[in-house]
Amino acid sequence: MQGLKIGDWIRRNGFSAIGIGLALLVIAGSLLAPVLAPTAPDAQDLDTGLTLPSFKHLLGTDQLGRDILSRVMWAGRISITIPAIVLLLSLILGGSMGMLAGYLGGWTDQVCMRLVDLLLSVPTFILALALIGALGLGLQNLVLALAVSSFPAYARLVRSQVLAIKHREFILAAEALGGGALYVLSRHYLPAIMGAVMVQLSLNAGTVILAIAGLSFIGLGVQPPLPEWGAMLVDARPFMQVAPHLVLAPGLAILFTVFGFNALGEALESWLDPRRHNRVN
Amino acid sequence: MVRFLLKRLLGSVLVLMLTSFLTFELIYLAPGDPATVILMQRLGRLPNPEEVARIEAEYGLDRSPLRQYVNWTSQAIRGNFGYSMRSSRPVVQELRTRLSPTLLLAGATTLFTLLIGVPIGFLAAIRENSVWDHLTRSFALLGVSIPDFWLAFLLILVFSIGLRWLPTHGLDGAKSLILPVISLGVANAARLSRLTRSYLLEVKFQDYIRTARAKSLQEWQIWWRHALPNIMIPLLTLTVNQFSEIAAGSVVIETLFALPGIGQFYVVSVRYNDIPVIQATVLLISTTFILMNLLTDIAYVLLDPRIRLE
Repeated sequence: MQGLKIGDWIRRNGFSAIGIGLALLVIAGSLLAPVLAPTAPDAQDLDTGLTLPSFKHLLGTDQLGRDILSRVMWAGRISITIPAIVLLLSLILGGSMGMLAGYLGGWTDQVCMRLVDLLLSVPTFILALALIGALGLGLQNLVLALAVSSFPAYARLVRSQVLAIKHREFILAAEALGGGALYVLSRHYLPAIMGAVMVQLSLNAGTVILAIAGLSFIGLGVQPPLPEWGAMLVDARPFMQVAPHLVLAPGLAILFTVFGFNALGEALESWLDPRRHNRVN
Repeated sequence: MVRFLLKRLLGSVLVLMLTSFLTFELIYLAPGDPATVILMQRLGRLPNPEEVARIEAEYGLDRSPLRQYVNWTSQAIRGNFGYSMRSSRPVVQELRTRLSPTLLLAGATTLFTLLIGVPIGFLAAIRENSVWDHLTRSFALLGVSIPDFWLAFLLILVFSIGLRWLPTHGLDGAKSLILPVISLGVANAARLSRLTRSYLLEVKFQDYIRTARAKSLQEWQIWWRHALPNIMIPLLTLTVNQFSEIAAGSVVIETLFALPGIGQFYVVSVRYNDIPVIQATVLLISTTFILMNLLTDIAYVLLDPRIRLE
């Protein structure tokens, strides 16, 4: 960060900074739900169904008298860890495929990239849905379907990054010094392509969180009784007219988290490439 | 030109063949033997062996996988995707009746994103670093992060439940499309405005813009006649790429607003593991996507004389 301190960045991008802060708050609150949440996610208080926010229930209660704040926090654990697993799988799968394709070239490259082209010819969300339709519902299938539909983008990105530095001096030097494939890939390629991968991860995190919430919203993602943000919104729908506050909390939780990751991705991008700091997305 | 077209066409056919293979393979991903699955759906009980044998013959499931694929594709090319496992009606017929709501929604949304996104991006680029620029950029970042289904809820709360101006669901005239189009379009319009702005900032300092300015052309002429044509190609690419966003979004939005389109039908079919419908829908969407990309590539050559053909 030459010449650009974190303080400067916050001053110039106040809106993004707030977004990242809110996302951190939601993520921390969700991961610490077992410690911080006022009640268990399914604890019912039948005297107080559909109440407005009060001191006892800071965000009110739903139709079954469950504390909404607690439910949003518990739901966050699912809504954040599932995307994290999906991202990790996509990164490992796509990253290693892209590296091999770029590094080895030849027919390995051909086979890998045709597979990637093929998977990318179907819109990600539609492909994930098709896989869920074939595999059936369930957490494991959900993760699998999303990882299979997300990893091709990583393979393509990593491959292009590897190709871009393949003939640079520092790589040639490492190879000339007798570095083996594994050594050169992990110690020289990996650090050089990390930046671009981090940007992609951060921007993709938002997309995957939205996809999982969307899938749960249409009843094809996380299944009840597990609390999840998208699923909470569907549950709230019949009571929207009498208790609109039910709709606000889970939606804002999704919005803050996704916004935070998008803002982070954009900040990383401009930091890595200050020349293009005007370019967004 | 003819050679370029042929090459590009051949490439598209190849991708399409691979996609159809992938689509076909879906049936083998399903747990259990396909014939039993089909019968379970249809009868609601475990079928007996004769029934299984009859369905295997009817669907050609008793033949080798390669034969099945060839058979399936040759039928698909003729527009025969078999029967829906849920309703037992021909898949093509089911999809055909649902095509127009989806096309209407997708078309209107694309128009909405272009009419909102491009002008906002333009104004932001012209007044770079002004209050307006910062404001629209912040809102655009927010716009791409809003879950479309949540935005739809907020809109329903305000315009349907609160003000009673617009229907909460169903397809009944242009009025019923307003909320779905806005919910689906805001994120895409936001994305478009950000990219329009950044493309324009890239051409802002090009020689041809300086020349135009040196000729003392008016501001609007510089932007309209010299900047806009030069960002047409990335804008076109973006609009085509939005197709996949809109396809994904329409699945959720059609379900939410109970619009009887392909997206809503797709969700129901996924829920019931209705493989023939899933296969046909995926193939329909990816074929459209591949065709649109093909047309864009051709449009590039027509739009930009600088693109040389090998």
